[in-house]
Amino acid sequence: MTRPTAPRSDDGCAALLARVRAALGRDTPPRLPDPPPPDDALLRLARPGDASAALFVERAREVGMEAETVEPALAAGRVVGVLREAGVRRVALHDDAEDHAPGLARELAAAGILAVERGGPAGPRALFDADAGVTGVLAGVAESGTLVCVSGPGLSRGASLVPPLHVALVRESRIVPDLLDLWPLVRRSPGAAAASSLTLITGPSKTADIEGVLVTGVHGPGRVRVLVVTGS
Amino acid sequence: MKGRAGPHPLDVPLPHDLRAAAGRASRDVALQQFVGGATLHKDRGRRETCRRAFGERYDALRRHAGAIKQHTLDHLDAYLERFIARARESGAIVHAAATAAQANEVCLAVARRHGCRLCVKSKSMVTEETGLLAALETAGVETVETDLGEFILQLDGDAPSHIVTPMIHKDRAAVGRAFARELGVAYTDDPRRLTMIAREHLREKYRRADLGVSGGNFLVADTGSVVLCTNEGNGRFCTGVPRVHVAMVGIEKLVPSMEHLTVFLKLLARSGTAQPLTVYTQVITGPRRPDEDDGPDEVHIILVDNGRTGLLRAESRELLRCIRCGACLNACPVYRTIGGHAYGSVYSGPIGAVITPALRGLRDFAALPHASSLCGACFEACPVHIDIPRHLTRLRAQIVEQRIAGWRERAGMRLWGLALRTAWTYRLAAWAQRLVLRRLARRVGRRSRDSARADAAHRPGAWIHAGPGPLRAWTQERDFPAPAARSFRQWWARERGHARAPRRDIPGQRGTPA
Repeated sequence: MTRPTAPRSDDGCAALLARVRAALGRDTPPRLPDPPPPDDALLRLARPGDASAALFVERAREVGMEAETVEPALAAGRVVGVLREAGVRRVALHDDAEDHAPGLARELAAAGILAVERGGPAGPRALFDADAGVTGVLAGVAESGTLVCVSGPGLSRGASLVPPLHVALVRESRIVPDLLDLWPLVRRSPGAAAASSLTLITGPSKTADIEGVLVTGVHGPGRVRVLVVTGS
Repeated sequence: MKGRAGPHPLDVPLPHDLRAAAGRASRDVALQQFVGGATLHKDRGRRETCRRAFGERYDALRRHAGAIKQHTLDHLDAYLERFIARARESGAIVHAAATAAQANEVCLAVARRHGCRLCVKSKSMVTEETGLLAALETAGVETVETDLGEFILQLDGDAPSHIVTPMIHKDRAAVGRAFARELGVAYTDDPRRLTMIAREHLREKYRRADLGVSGGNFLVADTGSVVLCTNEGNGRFCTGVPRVHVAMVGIEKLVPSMEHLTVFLKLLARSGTAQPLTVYTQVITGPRRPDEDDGPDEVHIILVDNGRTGLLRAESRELLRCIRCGACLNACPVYRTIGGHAYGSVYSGPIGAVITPALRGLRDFAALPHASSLCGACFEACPVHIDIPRHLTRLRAQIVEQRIAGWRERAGMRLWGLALRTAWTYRLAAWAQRLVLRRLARRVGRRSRDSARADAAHRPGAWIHAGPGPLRAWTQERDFPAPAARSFRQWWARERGHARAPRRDIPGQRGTPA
């Protein structure tokens, strides 16, 4: 990977800051007061007491994802069942899927479903050959039915985007009630806080650009299957 | 892909002739149906979604969101400095551009350095503002708009007419014709099939592209992140597959932290499209790390000024709070009637009517602040509590003060001001006005055009349909009502005894309008 450092003296940033300061009517940077803190009472739409998994499944369905709960021992079998049902032969697999659904690699192999090559010369383009992406997620947000995906080693950005079907595994213990509760969890999770890409996914890829008619699967997956692994 | 030849809808001669553009739009029945129907639907969706989610808290939340943005703008220098430092720490390369031309030049330099040939681009208002697509194409970089609406507009050589729904002014038949003509596919007007044709076409472009260009909905100062909100997923392709990603973002997009970002995420999609969140909200922090499978090797962030520091003055600063949700467009009775192109600028609707004159010059866009009835629907719809009507009247005052308005208008306003100064001048002016208008109505008055109207309004001479002088501007478009036989003051004097008697509110009775 090349990471050339651009010349910084003429990148325009110093001139921009000077113009901003002039417009604000001061010459030197002020001491920055604390910003008004986000007001929990105004913003919160789900409380810690809310039954998170049930609410999450309900809201995920409302935004157009197919969501269900599954016991840990049955998770791998359920993933393979979902893939077979959709006629999937090649998957883009996240490394963390196995942790969410123990035995997944073995069951996939037994079902004759292959994982596409990763990190090869084709790079992300290999994902274009996959029929489905199977990923764990960092967290779920109950209030909006949102999946939280972070990039990292073995966690490609494209697995949840490029194939026409995304199968997402969510640990029940990682469901937070409200988006407000997500950021502390992100900061606690190794790798997530400094991830190059963090994506909130709330529904299948959709558009209503042509006469307001809703069409799913415009660029990304038209179907998102969410499996909430209970008690994990 | 080259757009079709022909004048670009937003390449308007200056000063912009809003009256002519609005006249054309108001005669276009199809346009009014598409835009009117779509905006009403969106406006209703926004109200219902916000009420369901926030209930009584909604108004306080809008003020809160406005206060956070205002704080960020009040200290924009410090937040920019922090953002630039954190973004660099994450490995992104940060540039700043004073003008549209400079911003495009920075992007072209990046493309040249990497020898880029094919660019996939996601929807971005700031790149519309700078004309980046044309600049890239001129420099020999094939550039494809990937948002479905923008893709269709590019095929048709057309321009977006709505901040969120760029092709709100087109119907499915127009899309079918454009696809048949430009992509060589069999004509269909089925939205699902058209969308799938675009999907297959664009997948090939994503696969081959070596440059991805995006805008940014937010910049997070604490982490140096660029945040992109999309529904289609094209933004994720543009920022994830090509080896170079360039994000062009206005300097007003800053928020202090991820927690503050949450405030705006909760409002943006609800206000724009009645969704809890856009389908994809992507937080990009630097290029891919060495141990990652995908993502760009280089991320460039171009911070664009292009007139924004001019708006940062105290009097107009709150306009930079705008998060481009499009709610004020959908709520505006004027936008609903004339659509976006009539505004002659990338930013249309109420927010366009106040920021376009500020960004591109009041003299060239002096008609825009008048494209409003000051009904206040935009203010009520704004999730960051921008008092748009106040800015419309402020700009109207500037138009008079800076003598941009013609001498007739200024003289008229001066006379009006004199008439309002004392009670007797007011009475005199009102008497003279009634005298002239009633005489005029007897000469050129006629029945109402609307036969369903009440009898009084239906009698001959009730409406003036061809006024002379300054009244012509009104009667060109609609009739002007002739004054009633008795003025309100006369009526009041007779009904209530003496008009100068001390005022008392009489329970159960309401005044009759003159």
